[in-house]
Amino acid sequence: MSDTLTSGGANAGAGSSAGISPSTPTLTAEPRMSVRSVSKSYTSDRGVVKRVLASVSFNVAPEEFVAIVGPSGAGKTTLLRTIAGLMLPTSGEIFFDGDEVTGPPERLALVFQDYSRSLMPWMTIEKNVTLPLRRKKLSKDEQKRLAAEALSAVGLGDIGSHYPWQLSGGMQQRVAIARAIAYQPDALLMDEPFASVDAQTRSDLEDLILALKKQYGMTIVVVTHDIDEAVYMSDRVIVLSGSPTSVRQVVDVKLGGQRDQLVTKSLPEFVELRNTVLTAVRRPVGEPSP
Amino acid sequence: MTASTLSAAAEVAVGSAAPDGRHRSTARRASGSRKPTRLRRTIEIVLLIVLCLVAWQVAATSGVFGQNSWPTLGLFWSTAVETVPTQAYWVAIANTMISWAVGLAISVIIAIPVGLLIGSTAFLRRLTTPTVDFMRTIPSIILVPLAVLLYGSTNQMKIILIVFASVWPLLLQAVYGIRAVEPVARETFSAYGIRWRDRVRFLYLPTASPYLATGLRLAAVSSLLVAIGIEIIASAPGLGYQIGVKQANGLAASSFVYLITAAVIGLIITGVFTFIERRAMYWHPSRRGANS
Ligand SMILES: Nc1ncnc2c1ncn2[C@@H]1O[C@H](COP(=O)(O)OP(=O)(O)O)[C@@H](O)[C@H]1O
Ligand SMILES: [Mg+2]
Repeated sequence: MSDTLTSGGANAGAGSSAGISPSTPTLTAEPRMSVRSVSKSYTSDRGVVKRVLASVSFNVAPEEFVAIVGPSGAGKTTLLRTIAGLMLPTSGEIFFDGDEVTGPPERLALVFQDYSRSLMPWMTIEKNVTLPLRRKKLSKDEQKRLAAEALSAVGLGDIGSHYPWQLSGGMQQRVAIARAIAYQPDALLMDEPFASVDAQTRSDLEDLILALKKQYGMTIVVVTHDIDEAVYMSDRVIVLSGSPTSVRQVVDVKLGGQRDQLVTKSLPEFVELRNTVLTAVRRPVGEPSP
Repeated sequence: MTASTLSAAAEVAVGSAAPDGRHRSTARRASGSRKPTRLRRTIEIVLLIVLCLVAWQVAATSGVFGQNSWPTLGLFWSTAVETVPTQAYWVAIANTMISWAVGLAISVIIAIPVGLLIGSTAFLRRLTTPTVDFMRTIPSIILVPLAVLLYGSTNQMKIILIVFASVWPLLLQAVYGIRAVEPVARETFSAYGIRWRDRVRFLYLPTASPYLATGLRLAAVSSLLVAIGIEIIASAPGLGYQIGVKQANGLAASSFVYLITAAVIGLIITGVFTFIERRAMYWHPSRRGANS
Protein backbone atom coordinates (compact mmCIF):
# COMPACT_ATOMS: atom_id res chain seq x y z
CA MET A 1 0.00 0.00 0.00
CA SER A 2 2.67 2.45 0.99
CA ASP A 3 4.34 1.87 -2.38
CA THR A 4 1.67 3.58 -4.37
CA LEU A 5 1.25 6.27 -1.79
CA THR A 6 4.94 7.09 -1.68
CA SER A 7 5.30 7.25 -5.43
CA GLY A 8 2.22 9.43 -5.60
CA GLY A 9 3.63 11.68 -2.93
CA ALA A 10 6.97 11.94 -4.67
CA ASN A 11 5.26 13.12 -7.84
CA ALA A 12 3.49 15.75 -5.86
CA GLY A 13 6.76 16.93 -4.47
CA ALA A 14 5.73 15.86 -1.03
CA GLY A 15 8.56 13.42 -0.51
CA SER A 16 7.98 10.47 1.71
CA SER A 17 5.75 12.29 4.14
CA ALA A 18 2.70 11.16 2.13
CA GLY A 19 1.28 7.95 3.57
CA ILE A 20 -0.58 8.34 6.81
CA SER A 21 0.53 11.76 7.76
CA PRO A 22 1.52 12.59 11.32
CA SER A 23 -0.61 15.71 10.95
CA THR A 24 -3.75 13.58 10.84
CA PRO A 25 -5.53 14.64 14.02
CA THR A 26 -5.92 12.21 16.85
CA LEU A 27 -9.55 11.59 17.56
CA THR A 28 -8.90 10.93 21.22
CA ALA A 29 -8.27 14.63 21.97
CA GLU A 30 -11.17 16.70 23.28
CA PRO A 31 -13.31 17.47 20.25
CA ARG A 32 -13.48 21.02 18.98
CA MET A 33 -17.09 20.48 18.05
CA SER A 34 -19.46 17.92 19.38
CA VAL A 35 -22.90 17.38 17.88
CA ARG A 36 -24.97 15.22 20.21
CA SER A 37 -28.31 13.72 19.16
CA VAL A 38 -29.31 16.95 17.46
CA SER A 39 -32.75 17.08 15.92
CA LYS A 40 -34.35 20.07 14.29
CA SER A 41 -37.93 20.69 13.18
CA TYR A 42 -39.31 23.71 11.40
CA THR A 43 -42.79 24.89 12.26
CA SER A 44 -44.57 26.72 9.47
CA ASP A 45 -46.86 29.71 10.03
CA ARG A 46 -49.81 27.35 9.81
CA GLY A 47 -48.35 25.19 12.55
CA VAL A 48 -47.21 22.33 10.31
CA VAL A 49 -44.13 20.73 11.81
CA LYS A 50 -41.45 19.54 9.42
CA ARG A 51 -38.78 17.31 10.89
CA VAL A 52 -35.49 17.95 9.09
CA LEU A 53 -32.80 16.52 11.36
CA ALA A 54 -33.34 13.38 13.39
CA SER A 55 -30.70 12.70 16.00
CA VAL A 56 -27.49 13.69 14.27
CA SER A 57 -24.31 12.96 16.24
CA PHE A 58 -20.63 13.39 15.41
CA ASN A 59 -17.47 14.96 16.76
CA VAL A 60 -14.88 17.09 15.02
CA ALA A 61 -11.35 17.03 16.40
CA PRO A 62 -9.15 20.11 16.53
CA GLU A 63 -7.55 20.80 13.15
CA GLU A 64 -9.59 18.10 11.54
CA PHE A 65 -11.14 18.64 8.11
CA VAL A 66 -14.61 17.15 7.91
CA ALA A 67 -16.75 17.07 4.79
CA ILE A 68 -20.49 16.59 5.08
CA VAL A 69 -22.28 15.18 2.05
CA GLY A 70 -25.92 14.41 1.54
CA PRO A 71 -28.72 14.86 -0.95
CA SER A 72 -30.10 18.31 -1.61
CA GLY A 73 -32.71 19.25 0.94
CA ALA A 74 -31.27 16.81 3.48
CA GLY A 75 -30.76 19.58 6.00
CA LYS A 76 -27.05 20.28 5.55
CA THR A 77 -27.52 24.03 5.74
CA THR A 78 -29.82 23.56 8.72
CA LEU A 79 -27.13 21.51 10.45
CA LEU A 80 -24.39 24.10 9.83
CA ARG A 81 -26.58 26.97 10.98
CA THR A 82 -27.36 25.07 14.14
CA ILE A 83 -23.68 24.35 14.79
CA ALA A 84 -22.93 28.04 14.16
CA GLY A 85 -25.43 28.97 16.86
CA LEU A 86 -27.71 30.87 14.49
CA MET A 87 -30.58 28.72 15.68
CA LEU A 88 -31.13 26.29 18.49
CA PRO A 89 -31.68 22.57 17.92
CA THR A 90 -35.15 21.26 18.71
CA SER A 91 -33.48 18.66 20.90
CA GLY A 92 -29.92 17.54 21.57
CA GLU A 93 -26.86 19.67 22.25
CA ILE A 94 -23.92 21.13 20.43
CA PHE A 95 -20.62 21.82 22.15
CA PHE A 96 -17.87 24.05 20.89
CA ASP A 97 -14.55 23.85 22.74
CA GLY A 98 -16.38 22.22 25.60
CA ASP A 99 -19.07 24.92 25.93
CA GLU A 100 -22.66 24.37 24.96
CA VAL A 101 -23.62 26.45 21.93
CA THR A 102 -26.52 28.78 22.69
CA GLY A 103 -25.52 31.57 20.32
CA PRO A 104 -22.81 32.16 17.71
CA PRO A 105 -19.48 31.11 19.33
CA GLU A 106 -16.80 33.76 19.18
CA ARG A 107 -14.06 31.48 17.89
CA LEU A 108 -16.12 30.21 14.96
CA ALA A 109 -16.67 31.64 11.48
CA LEU A 110 -19.26 30.62 8.92
CA VAL A 111 -18.99 31.09 5.17
CA PHE A 112 -22.50 31.15 3.77
CA GLN A 113 -23.71 29.26 0.73
CA ASP A 114 -25.16 32.52 -0.57
CA TYR A 115 -21.87 34.37 -0.28
CA SER A 116 -22.82 37.25 -2.57
CA ARG A 117 -25.62 38.24 -0.25
CA SER A 118 -23.36 37.95 2.77
CA LEU A 119 -21.17 40.78 1.43
CA MET A 120 -22.55 44.27 1.98
CA PRO A 121 -22.83 46.06 -1.38
CA TRP A 122 -22.53 49.48 0.26
CA MET A 123 -19.15 48.66 1.77
CA THR A 124 -15.80 48.34 0.04
CA ILE A 125 -14.04 44.99 0.10
CA GLU A 126 -11.75 46.20 2.85
CA LYS A 127 -14.69 47.35 5.00
CA ASN A 128 -16.44 44.04 4.41
CA VAL A 129 -13.38 42.10 5.50
CA THR A 130 -12.72 44.22 8.58
CA LEU A 131 -16.39 44.22 9.64
CA PRO A 132 -16.11 41.24 12.04
CA LEU A 133 -12.87 42.68 13.47
CA ARG A 134 -14.77 45.56 15.05
CA ARG A 135 -15.61 43.16 17.82
CA LYS A 136 -11.93 42.65 18.64
CA LYS A 137 -10.17 45.57 20.17
CA LEU A 138 -7.75 46.27 17.35
CA SER A 139 -6.42 49.52 15.97
CA LYS A 140 -7.52 50.68 12.52
CA ASP A 141 -4.07 49.94 11.15
CA GLU A 142 -4.07 46.47 12.63
CA GLN A 143 -7.48 45.79 11.08
CA LYS A 144 -6.27 46.98 7.70
CA ARG A 145 -3.17 44.85 7.96
CA LEU A 146 -5.22 41.73 8.78
CA ALA A 147 -7.58 42.46 5.89
CA ALA A 148 -4.74 42.94 3.41
CA GLU A 149 -3.06 39.78 4.65
CA ALA A 150 -6.27 37.73 4.36
CA LEU A 151 -7.01 39.10 0.90
CA SER A 152 -3.56 38.21 -0.33
CA ALA A 153 -3.84 34.78 1.32
CA VAL A 154 -6.89 34.06 -0.86
CA GLY A 155 -5.05 35.30 -3.93
CA LEU A 156 -6.74 38.67 -4.19
CA GLY A 157 -4.32 41.52 -4.35
CA ASP A 158 -5.01 45.18 -4.13
CA ILE A 159 -8.80 45.20 -4.37
CA GLY A 160 -9.65 46.63 -0.95
CA SER A 161 -11.18 49.78 -2.41
CA HIS A 162 -13.49 47.96 -4.82
CA TYR A 163 -17.11 47.10 -4.13
CA PRO A 164 -18.32 43.47 -4.06
CA TRP A 165 -20.51 43.97 -7.09
CA GLN A 166 -17.49 44.91 -9.16
CA LEU A 167 -16.09 41.40 -8.70
CA SER A 168 -16.91 38.04 -10.29
CA GLY A 169 -18.66 35.30 -8.32
CA GLY A 170 -15.42 33.44 -7.67
CA MET A 171 -13.74 36.60 -6.37
CA GLN A 172 -16.69 37.41 -4.13
CA GLN A 173 -16.42 33.94 -2.67
CA ARG A 174 -12.73 34.54 -1.99
CA VAL A 175 -13.62 37.78 -0.23
CA ALA A 176 -16.10 35.91 1.98
CA ILE A 177 -13.36 33.41 2.80
CA ALA A 178 -10.86 36.22 3.41
CA ARG A 179 -13.28 37.82 5.85
CA ALA A 180 -13.52 34.55 7.76
CA ILE A 181 -9.72 34.17 7.81
CA ALA A 182 -9.04 37.76 8.89
CA TYR A 183 -11.28 37.02 11.85
CA GLN A 184 -8.79 34.29 12.84
CA PRO A 185 -11.28 31.70 14.03
CA ASP A 186 -10.38 28.34 15.52
CA ALA A 187 -12.98 26.71 13.34
CA LEU A 188 -14.42 27.48 9.96
CA LEU A 189 -17.77 26.21 8.68
CA MET A 190 -18.43 26.45 4.95
CA ASP A 191 -21.74 25.77 3.26
CA GLU A 192 -21.28 24.54 -0.32
CA PRO A 193 -18.57 27.11 -0.78
CA PHE A 194 -17.75 26.30 -4.39
CA ALA A 195 -21.15 25.33 -5.74
CA SER A 196 -21.50 28.27 -8.08
CA VAL A 197 -18.03 28.82 -9.47
CA ASP A 198 -16.54 27.34 -12.62
CA ALA A 199 -14.52 24.12 -12.50
CA GLN A 200 -11.10 25.75 -12.72
CA THR A 201 -11.85 28.28 -9.97
CA ARG A 202 -13.32 25.47 -7.96
CA SER A 203 -10.19 23.35 -7.88
CA ASP A 204 -8.11 26.48 -7.20
CA LEU A 205 -10.33 27.30 -4.23
CA GLU A 206 -10.15 23.72 -2.94
CA ASP A 207 -6.37 23.91 -2.87
CA LEU A 208 -6.55 27.38 -1.40
CA ILE A 209 -8.62 26.12 1.54
CA LEU A 210 -6.23 23.23 2.10
CA ALA A 211 -3.29 25.64 2.10
CA LEU A 212 -5.04 28.05 4.47
CA LYS A 213 -5.91 25.22 6.82
CA LYS A 214 -2.24 24.30 7.02
CA GLN A 215 -1.17 27.90 7.44
CA TYR A 216 -3.67 28.82 10.13
CA GLY A 217 -4.27 25.42 11.72
CA MET A 218 -8.04 25.75 11.60
CA THR A 219 -10.66 23.10 12.13
CA ILE A 220 -12.82 23.02 9.02
CA VAL A 221 -16.26 21.60 8.30
CA VAL A 222 -17.36 21.84 4.69
CA VAL A 223 -20.76 20.94 3.32
CA THR A 224 -20.66 19.84 -0.29
CA HIS A 225 -22.60 17.73 -2.71
CA ASP A 226 -19.53 16.97 -4.74
CA ILE A 227 -18.17 13.62 -3.61
CA ASP A 228 -14.76 14.01 -5.27
CA GLU A 229 -14.36 17.31 -3.53
CA ALA A 230 -15.39 15.82 -0.18
CA VAL A 231 -12.84 13.01 -0.43
CA TYR A 232 -10.11 15.21 -1.90
CA MET A 233 -10.24 17.81 0.83
CA SER A 234 -11.18 16.02 4.02
CA ASP A 235 -9.86 13.79 6.77
CA ARG A 236 -13.33 12.37 7.23
CA VAL A 237 -16.52 12.33 5.19
CA ILE A 238 -19.85 12.26 7.00
CA VAL A 239 -22.63 10.94 4.79
CA LEU A 240 -26.11 12.11 5.73
CA SER A 241 -29.23 10.12 4.88
CA GLY A 242 -32.41 11.58 3.44
CA SER A 243 -35.25 13.04 5.47
CA PRO A 244 -35.50 13.15 8.39
CA THR A 245 -31.75 13.21 8.34
CA SER A 246 -29.24 11.31 10.42
CA VAL A 247 -25.65 10.21 9.93
CA ARG A 248 -25.65 7.25 7.57
CA GLN A 249 -21.97 6.52 7.39
CA VAL A 250 -18.65 8.03 8.37
CA VAL A 251 -15.75 7.41 6.00
CA ASP A 252 -12.18 7.99 7.18
CA VAL A 253 -10.05 9.48 4.43
CA LYS A 254 -6.50 8.36 5.01
CA LEU A 255 -4.86 10.08 2.11
CA GLY A 256 -2.26 12.00 4.09
CA GLY A 257 -1.75 15.69 4.63
CA GLN A 258 -0.40 16.44 1.19
CA ARG A 259 -3.04 16.58 -1.53
CA ASP A 260 -2.68 17.30 -5.19
CA GLN A 261 -5.47 17.65 -7.73
CA LEU A 262 -3.86 15.31 -10.26
CA VAL A 263 -1.90 12.92 -8.09
CA THR A 264 -4.33 12.43 -5.23
CA LYS A 265 -7.33 12.04 -7.47
CA SER A 266 -5.67 9.27 -9.46
CA LEU A 267 -4.62 7.24 -6.45
CA PRO A 268 -6.42 3.88 -6.25
CA GLU A 269 -7.21 4.69 -2.60
CA PHE A 270 -8.91 7.87 -3.70
CA VAL A 271 -11.03 6.03 -6.26
CA GLU A 272 -11.93 3.43 -3.67
CA LEU A 273 -12.93 6.03 -1.06
CA ARG A 274 -14.90 7.92 -3.63
CA ASN A 275 -16.83 4.76 -4.53
CA THR A 276 -17.46 4.00 -0.85
CA VAL A 277 -18.93 7.45 -0.30
CA LEU A 278 -20.92 7.34 -3.53
CA THR A 279 -22.41 3.98 -2.59
CA ALA A 280 -23.35 5.33 0.84
CA VAL A 281 -25.00 8.39 -0.68
CA ARG A 282 -26.93 6.35 -3.24
CA ARG A 283 -28.13 3.60 -0.94
CA PRO A 284 -31.92 3.82 -0.60
CA VAL A 285 -33.30 4.95 2.72
CA GLY A 286 -33.62 2.21 5.30
CA GLU A 287 -31.05 -0.17 3.83
CA PRO A 288 -28.45 -1.04 6.44
CA SER A 289 -24.82 -0.21 5.85
CA PRO A 290 -22.57 -3.19 5.09
CA MET B 1 -2.80 38.43 -11.69
CA THR B 2 -5.17 40.78 -9.98
CA ALA B 3 -5.36 43.26 -12.80
CA SER B 4 -6.24 40.64 -15.39
CA THR B 5 -8.73 38.85 -13.16
CA LEU B 6 -10.34 42.17 -12.35
CA SER B 7 -10.87 43.11 -15.95
CA ALA B 8 -12.09 39.63 -16.75
CA ALA B 9 -14.38 39.89 -13.77
CA ALA B 10 -16.00 43.02 -15.08
CA GLU B 11 -18.05 41.12 -17.66
CA VAL B 12 -18.97 38.26 -15.38
CA ALA B 13 -19.90 40.37 -12.42
CA VAL B 14 -22.80 42.27 -13.94
CA GLY B 15 -25.99 41.21 -12.30
CA SER B 16 -24.52 38.10 -10.73
CA ALA B 17 -24.78 39.30 -7.20
CA ALA B 18 -26.39 41.15 -4.39
CA PRO B 19 -29.86 42.41 -3.52
CA ASP B 20 -32.48 42.30 -6.22
CA GLY B 21 -33.96 45.46 -7.63
CA ARG B 22 -36.90 45.58 -5.31
CA HIS B 23 -36.47 49.25 -4.69
CA ARG B 24 -39.40 51.19 -6.04
CA SER B 25 -37.89 54.08 -7.89
CA THR B 26 -35.86 51.89 -10.17
CA ALA B 27 -33.58 54.32 -11.90
CA ARG B 28 -32.96 53.75 -15.52
CA ARG B 29 -29.46 54.09 -16.79
CA ALA B 30 -28.77 55.97 -19.95
CA SER B 31 -27.52 53.33 -22.31
CA GLY B 32 -25.07 53.78 -25.10
CA SER B 33 -23.21 56.94 -26.04
CA ARG B 34 -23.67 59.91 -23.76
CA LYS B 35 -22.50 63.10 -25.43
CA PRO B 36 -25.03 63.37 -28.29
CA THR B 37 -27.81 62.52 -25.80
CA ARG B 38 -26.83 65.39 -23.52
CA LEU B 39 -26.68 67.89 -26.40
CA ARG B 40 -30.06 66.74 -27.62
CA ARG B 41 -31.53 67.08 -24.17
CA THR B 42 -30.26 70.66 -23.88
CA ILE B 43 -31.82 71.54 -27.22
CA GLU B 44 -35.08 69.92 -26.17
CA ILE B 45 -35.17 71.83 -22.91
CA VAL B 46 -34.46 75.16 -24.59
CA LEU B 47 -37.18 74.45 -27.15
CA LEU B 48 -39.62 73.56 -24.38
CA ILE B 49 -38.92 76.80 -22.50
CA VAL B 50 -39.37 78.87 -25.66
CA LEU B 51 -42.62 77.05 -26.35
CA CYS B 52 -43.89 77.74 -22.83
CA LEU B 53 -43.05 81.44 -23.10
CA VAL B 54 -44.86 81.68 -26.42
CA ALA B 55 -47.88 79.89 -24.92
CA TRP B 56 -47.76 82.26 -21.94
CA GLN B 57 -47.79 85.32 -24.17
CA VAL B 58 -50.61 83.91 -26.31
CA ALA B 59 -52.62 83.12 -23.15
CA ALA B 60 -52.04 86.64 -21.81
CA THR B 61 -52.92 88.57 -24.97
CA SER B 62 -55.81 86.46 -26.26
CA GLY B 63 -57.85 87.05 -23.13
CA VAL B 64 -59.21 83.48 -22.88
CA PHE B 65 -58.57 83.60 -19.13
CA GLY B 66 -60.49 86.85 -18.72
CA GLN B 67 -59.31 90.44 -18.68
CA ASN B 68 -56.17 91.15 -16.63
CA SER B 69 -56.06 87.73 -14.97
CA TRP B 70 -52.96 86.58 -16.88
CA PRO B 71 -50.18 89.17 -17.22
CA THR B 72 -48.11 89.53 -20.35
CA LEU B 73 -44.44 88.56 -20.14
CA GLY B 74 -43.44 92.24 -20.18
CA LEU B 75 -45.76 93.17 -17.31
CA PHE B 76 -44.71 90.07 -15.38
CA TRP B 77 -41.05 90.94 -15.75
CA SER B 78 -41.42 94.57 -14.66
CA THR B 79 -43.55 93.50 -11.66
CA ALA B 80 -40.97 90.89 -10.73
CA VAL B 81 -38.16 93.44 -10.83
CA GLU B 82 -40.27 95.63 -8.55
CA THR B 83 -41.37 92.88 -6.12
CA VAL B 84 -38.23 90.84 -5.59
CA PRO B 85 -36.29 93.55 -3.69
CA THR B 86 -39.19 94.19 -1.27
CA GLN B 87 -39.19 92.91 2.28
CA ALA B 88 -42.72 91.48 1.91
CA TYR B 89 -41.48 89.14 -0.82
CA TRP B 90 -38.72 87.69 1.30
CA VAL B 91 -40.91 87.49 4.40
CA ALA B 92 -43.42 85.46 2.40
CA ILE B 93 -40.67 83.08 1.25
CA ALA B 94 -39.33 82.82 4.79
CA ASN B 95 -42.75 82.02 6.23
CA THR B 96 -43.33 79.25 3.72
CA MET B 97 -39.85 77.81 3.96
CA ILE B 98 -39.67 77.89 7.75
CA SER B 99 -42.92 75.99 8.15
CA TRP B 100 -41.77 73.64 5.37
CA ALA B 101 -38.44 72.96 7.07
CA VAL B 102 -39.83 72.60 10.57
CA GLY B 103 -42.72 70.43 9.35
CA LEU B 104 -40.37 68.19 7.39
CA ALA B 105 -37.90 67.92 10.27
CA ILE B 106 -40.64 66.94 12.72
CA SER B 107 -41.96 64.38 10.24
CA VAL B 108 -38.49 62.87 9.87
CA ILE B 109 -37.93 62.76 13.62
CA ILE B 110 -41.26 61.03 14.20
CA ALA B 111 -41.57 58.81 11.14
CA ILE B 112 -38.12 57.31 10.71
CA PRO B 113 -37.57 55.81 14.18
CA VAL B 114 -41.19 54.70 14.39
CA GLY B 115 -41.07 53.26 10.87
CA LEU B 116 -37.83 51.40 11.54
CA LEU B 117 -39.31 50.01 14.75
CA ILE B 118 -42.55 48.93 13.10
CA GLY B 119 -40.68 47.47 10.14
CA SER B 120 -38.47 45.33 12.33
CA THR B 121 -41.26 43.91 14.49
CA ALA B 122 -43.74 41.57 12.83
CA PHE B 123 -46.22 42.09 15.65
CA LEU B 124 -46.19 45.90 15.38
CA ARG B 125 -46.43 45.64 11.62
CA ARG B 126 -49.60 43.58 11.77
CA LEU B 127 -51.02 45.90 14.40
CA THR B 128 -50.36 49.17 12.58
CA THR B 129 -50.69 48.38 8.87
CA PRO B 130 -54.49 48.93 8.66
CA THR B 131 -54.28 52.21 10.59
CA VAL B 132 -51.40 53.56 8.53
CA ASP B 133 -53.07 52.53 5.28
CA PHE B 134 -56.21 54.37 6.33
CA MET B 135 -54.55 57.50 7.72
CA ARG B 136 -52.38 58.10 4.67
CA THR B 137 -55.44 58.28 2.43
CA ILE B 138 -56.84 61.24 4.39
CA PRO B 139 -55.87 64.44 2.57
CA SER B 140 -54.47 67.15 4.86
CA ILE B 141 -56.89 69.66 3.37
CA ILE B 142 -59.82 68.01 5.17
CA LEU B 143 -58.20 68.86 8.46
CA VAL B 144 -57.75 72.55 7.66
CA PRO B 145 -60.95 73.77 9.40
CA LEU B 146 -60.16 71.83 12.54
CA ALA B 147 -56.54 73.02 12.63
CA VAL B 148 -57.51 76.63 11.98
CA LEU B 149 -60.09 76.40 14.76
CA LEU B 150 -57.45 75.15 17.16
CA TYR B 151 -54.45 77.24 16.18
CA GLY B 152 -55.71 80.04 13.95
CA SER B 153 -54.02 80.92 10.65
CA THR B 154 -50.53 80.52 12.03
CA ASN B 155 -47.30 78.81 11.07
CA GLN B 156 -47.99 76.37 13.88
CA MET B 157 -51.24 75.28 12.23
CA LYS B 158 -49.42 74.92 8.91
CA ILE B 159 -46.69 72.83 10.49
CA ILE B 160 -49.17 70.44 12.05
CA LEU B 161 -50.87 69.85 8.72
CA ILE B 162 -47.53 69.48 6.94
CA VAL B 163 -46.49 66.86 9.46
CA PHE B 164 -49.77 65.07 8.98
CA ALA B 165 -49.18 64.92 5.23
CA SER B 166 -45.47 64.09 5.29
CA VAL B 167 -45.25 61.59 8.08
CA TRP B 168 -46.95 58.79 6.12
CA PRO B 169 -44.70 58.52 3.06
CA LEU B 170 -41.67 58.63 5.37
CA LEU B 171 -43.12 56.05 7.72
CA LEU B 172 -43.98 53.65 4.92
CA GLN B 173 -40.58 54.00 3.28
CA ALA B 174 -38.88 53.34 6.62
CA VAL B 175 -40.98 50.18 7.02
CA TYR B 176 -40.10 49.02 3.48
CA GLY B 177 -36.47 49.92 4.07
CA ILE B 178 -36.06 47.81 7.16
CA ARG B 179 -37.92 44.93 5.57
CA ALA B 180 -35.46 44.98 2.68
CA VAL B 181 -32.65 43.79 4.95
CA GLU B 182 -31.22 40.58 3.49
CA PRO B 183 -31.69 37.64 5.88
CA VAL B 184 -28.25 36.33 4.88
CA ALA B 185 -26.71 39.71 5.67
CA ARG B 186 -28.46 39.77 9.04
CA GLU B 187 -27.17 36.27 9.80
CA THR B 188 -23.68 37.29 8.76
CA PHE B 189 -23.79 40.08 11.34
CA SER B 190 -25.07 37.78 14.02
CA ALA B 191 -22.66 34.94 13.17
CA TYR B 192 -19.77 37.36 13.72
CA GLY B 193 -21.35 38.65 16.92
CA ILE B 194 -21.40 42.23 15.69
CA ARG B 195 -22.71 44.66 18.29
CA TRP B 196 -26.21 46.10 18.07
CA ARG B 197 -24.94 49.62 17.41
CA ASP B 198 -22.78 48.46 14.52
CA ARG B 199 -25.67 46.46 13.11
CA VAL B 200 -27.77 49.60 12.92
CA ARG B 201 -24.91 51.58 11.45
CA PHE B 202 -23.59 49.06 8.94
CA LEU B 203 -26.66 47.00 8.10
CA TYR B 204 -30.03 48.51 8.90
CA LEU B 205 -29.39 52.13 7.99
CA PRO B 206 -27.48 51.42 4.76
CA THR B 207 -30.16 48.98 3.59
CA ALA B 208 -32.91 51.40 4.44
CA SER B 209 -31.18 54.55 3.18
CA PRO B 210 -32.39 54.43 -0.44
CA TYR B 211 -35.92 53.92 0.83
CA LEU B 212 -35.56 56.70 3.38
CA ALA B 213 -34.15 59.02 0.73
CA THR B 214 -37.14 58.31 -1.52
CA GLY B 215 -39.48 58.96 1.40
CA LEU B 216 -37.62 62.18 2.12
CA ARG B 217 -38.02 63.38 -1.45
CA LEU B 218 -41.73 62.56 -1.48
CA ALA B 219 -42.20 64.23 1.91
CA ALA B 220 -40.19 67.31 0.94
CA VAL B 221 -42.32 67.89 -2.15
CA SER B 222 -45.64 67.15 -0.45
CA SER B 223 -44.69 69.41 2.49
CA LEU B 224 -44.23 72.32 0.11
CA LEU B 225 -47.49 71.61 -1.69
CA VAL B 226 -49.38 71.39 1.59
CA ALA B 227 -47.72 74.54 2.96
CA ILE B 228 -48.65 76.63 -0.06
CA GLY B 229 -52.10 75.10 -0.46
CA ILE B 230 -52.96 75.80 3.16
CA GLU B 231 -51.63 79.35 2.91
CA ILE B 232 -54.03 79.93 0.02
CA ILE B 233 -57.02 78.29 1.69
CA ALA B 234 -56.56 79.45 5.26
CA SER B 235 -54.82 82.79 4.66
CA ALA B 236 -51.79 81.79 6.69
CA PRO B 237 -48.73 83.95 6.03
CA GLY B 238 -46.47 82.83 3.18
CA LEU B 239 -46.20 82.52 -0.60
CA GLY B 240 -49.62 80.91 -0.88
CA TYR B 241 -51.26 83.77 0.95
CA GLN B 242 -49.66 86.30 -1.40
CA ILE B 243 -50.72 84.30 -4.46
CA GLY B 244 -54.33 84.24 -3.28
CA VAL B 245 -54.63 87.76 -1.98
CA LYS B 246 -52.92 89.40 -4.99
CA GLN B 247 -55.12 87.47 -7.41
CA ALA B 248 -58.25 88.44 -5.45
CA ASN B 249 -57.28 92.10 -5.59
CA GLY B 250 -56.79 92.04 -9.35
CA LEU B 251 -52.98 92.17 -9.08
CA ALA B 252 -52.48 89.26 -11.45
CA ALA B 253 -48.86 90.12 -12.32
CA SER B 254 -47.87 90.28 -8.64
CA SER B 255 -49.71 87.03 -7.97
CA PHE B 256 -47.76 85.42 -10.81
CA VAL B 257 -44.46 86.57 -9.35
CA TYR B 258 -45.26 84.63 -6.17
CA LEU B 259 -46.62 81.71 -8.14
CA ILE B 260 -43.47 81.39 -10.24
CA THR B 261 -41.36 81.79 -7.10
CA ALA B 262 -43.20 78.84 -5.53
CA ALA B 263 -42.67 76.78 -8.68
CA VAL B 264 -38.94 77.54 -8.74
CA ILE B 265 -38.61 76.57 -5.06
CA GLY B 266 -40.45 73.34 -5.85
CA LEU B 267 -38.03 72.58 -8.67
CA ILE B 268 -35.01 73.29 -6.49
CA ILE B 269 -36.33 71.05 -3.71
CA THR B 270 -37.03 68.23 -6.15
CA GLY B 271 -33.58 68.62 -7.66
CA VAL B 272 -31.76 68.62 -4.35
CA PHE B 273 -33.65 65.67 -2.92
CA THR B 274 -33.33 63.66 -6.13
CA PHE B 275 -29.59 64.24 -5.89
CA ILE B 276 -29.56 63.05 -2.27
CA GLU B 277 -31.58 60.00 -3.25
CA ARG B 278 -29.09 59.07 -5.95
CA ARG B 279 -26.18 59.46 -3.59
CA ALA B 280 -27.88 57.19 -1.07
CA MET B 281 -28.19 54.55 -3.76
CA TYR B 282 -24.65 54.51 -5.13
CA TRP B 283 -24.33 50.83 -4.31
CA HIS B 284 -27.80 49.83 -5.43
CA PRO B 285 -28.14 47.44 -8.41
CA SER B 286 -30.21 50.01 -10.30
CA ARG B 287 -27.60 52.74 -9.97
CA ARG B 288 -24.23 51.01 -9.84
CA GLY B 289 -21.48 53.01 -11.41
CA ALA B 290 -23.88 55.73 -12.53
CA ASN B 291 -22.30 58.22 -10.15
CA SER B 292 -19.15 58.57 -8.09
N1 LIG C 1 -36.35 28.47 7.70
C1 LIG C 1 -36.97 27.35 7.28
N2 LIG C 1 -38.28 27.15 7.53
C2 LIG C 1 -38.91 26.03 7.13
N3 LIG C 1 -38.33 25.04 6.46
C3 LIG C 1 -37.03 25.15 6.16
C4 LIG C 1 -36.27 26.33 6.55
N4 LIG C 1 -35.00 26.18 6.12
C5 LIG C 1 -34.96 24.98 5.49
N5 LIG C 1 -36.17 24.37 5.51
C6 LIG C 1 -36.47 23.05 4.95
O1 LIG C 1 -35.62 22.11 5.55
C7 LIG C 1 -35.15 21.18 4.59
C8 LIG C 1 -33.65 21.16 4.61
O2 LIG C 1 -33.17 22.40 4.12
P1 LIG C 1 -31.62 22.74 4.04
O3 LIG C 1 -31.05 22.65 5.41
O4 LIG C 1 -31.47 24.02 3.34
O5 LIG C 1 -31.09 21.54 3.16
P2 LIG C 1 -29.75 21.41 2.30
O6 LIG C 1 -28.84 22.51 2.70
O7 LIG C 1 -29.22 20.05 2.64
O8 LIG C 1 -30.13 21.47 0.87
C9 LIG C 1 -35.74 21.57 3.26
O9 LIG C 1 -36.83 20.73 3.00
C10 LIG C 1 -36.19 22.97 3.47
O10 LIG C 1 -37.34 23.22 2.72
MG1 LIG D 1 -28.00 24.12 1.61
